[in-house]
Amino acid sequence: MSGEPGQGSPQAADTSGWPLLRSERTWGPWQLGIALATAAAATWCYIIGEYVGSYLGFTRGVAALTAGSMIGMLLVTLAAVPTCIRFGVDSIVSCKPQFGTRGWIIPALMQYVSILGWNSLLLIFFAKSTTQLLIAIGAIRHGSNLLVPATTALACSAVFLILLRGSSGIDRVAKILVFHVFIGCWMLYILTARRWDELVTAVPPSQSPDPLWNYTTGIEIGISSLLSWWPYIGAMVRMAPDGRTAALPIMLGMGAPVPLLSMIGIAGILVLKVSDPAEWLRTVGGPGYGIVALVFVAAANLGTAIAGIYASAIGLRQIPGVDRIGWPTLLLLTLAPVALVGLLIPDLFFAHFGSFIALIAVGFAPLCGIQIVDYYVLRRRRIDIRAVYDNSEAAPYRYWAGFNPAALAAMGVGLVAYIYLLDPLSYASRWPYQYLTASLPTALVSALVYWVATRRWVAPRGLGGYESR
Amino acid sequence: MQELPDELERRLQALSDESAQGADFDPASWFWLLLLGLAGPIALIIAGWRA
Repeated sequence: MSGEPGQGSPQAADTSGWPLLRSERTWGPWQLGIALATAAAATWCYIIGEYVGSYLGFTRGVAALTAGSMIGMLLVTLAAVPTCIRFGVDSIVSCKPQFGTRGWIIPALMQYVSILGWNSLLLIFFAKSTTQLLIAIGAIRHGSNLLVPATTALACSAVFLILLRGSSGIDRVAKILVFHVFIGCWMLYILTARRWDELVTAVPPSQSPDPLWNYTTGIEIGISSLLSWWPYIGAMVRMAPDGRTAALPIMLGMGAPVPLLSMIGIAGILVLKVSDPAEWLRTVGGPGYGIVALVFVAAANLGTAIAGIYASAIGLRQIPGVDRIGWPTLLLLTLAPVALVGLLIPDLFFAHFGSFIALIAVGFAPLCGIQIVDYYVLRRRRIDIRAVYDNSEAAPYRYWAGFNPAALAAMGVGLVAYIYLLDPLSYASRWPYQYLTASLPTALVSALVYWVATRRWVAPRGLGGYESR
Repeated sequence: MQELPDELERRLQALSDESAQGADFDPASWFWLLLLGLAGPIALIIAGWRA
């Protein structure tokens, strides 16, 4: 395996985090769209749907979640993709011009925690689904406490082996696993066809007396869920040659599958009070359908986990020292915490999933606002790619000791704004949340703070590589 | 200026030519982005609220 950076091969660049040349960026629209869909479509869709179905009925829930998801996808796309697609770099590299030659560690930590959390969840789900599947087909018997940990270890091993080939591993698996999106549509058809009357008359279990609050919360859940794609998207779109190739696959391949598959969760929680189709398909369709659902859930989770571990490993490459270790070792370092969470504290992690997803929006909404205003307004689309890799004292993106106070201030203000509008732990809200959501004003406030701080204090001092006007 | 690894230097050199970079979103891309990420969701929000 030629995974050591510096060897000059396309695969070395693929696994190094360095910019990819156009000749190495060979993914077309279909290939990119399928890879993105595989990354987006996983078990978390059912949980996202469950949250929306707790506040809204089926029709309004689907409308709110779809609208919010596509808005969230647009935010992430405008924030990270332009730099990634121009220079063939990942999401972390794309934020160095805003956060500085050391400050980028903040988004990197956010990315690492986010992907670690999501993939721990997915691999635990994968292990549970596979264990249930083996029991359902009679391959193993009930009762062993070692089954889930053993399957988790097996899943981690499979991810490791597939990713030894770099992004080509994702592409190969994506071609196979994309079919689970169609199986998901079939599962939704089963439920809506057999339980439609119950579905449209079902009362959401946790709805507020204020219909507007419920509707806005459905939109907010969509936006915040799709903000989770910021860490993933760069590592995928860097394989495409230009923005034209990427725009539609991003919106349809990565944005649309989440609300589509989340309908399964909305319908499940409204009709059967259970969002996981692995459980309700046995109730609705019998054991045969249950086995199909379990295969679906296992495949979906594995595909997304592969994409996530790859994105996380590429992000870690930016850390000094990590850039010199071999690809297999880096993969092991990335997988180890995921495996430990899956093996040691799976139930504790499951119990706090709601807090986890809400806290993601607290971090990524300000980040998107900062990147959008910096790229389109302050820099007018001019990024110095050499400066991104220059860590010297005189580097344009050095700012103060490697940190950009404008970005830190904007992140801080954004964090306070989000928590003021919507408490991510209790979902208690304040005006004007019911009219604006929490993520959108947070991104806007962060963008404004970043713009003011940059124009008044950073750019006039000749820092950040901004052109003087 | 910091000394960079040879391979990274080669890549940055190649990307210093703007024609070697990936093209940003073109007008057709912006159309799809704004249709699917802004106009479509706004229409959906209105339609869903009226439903």
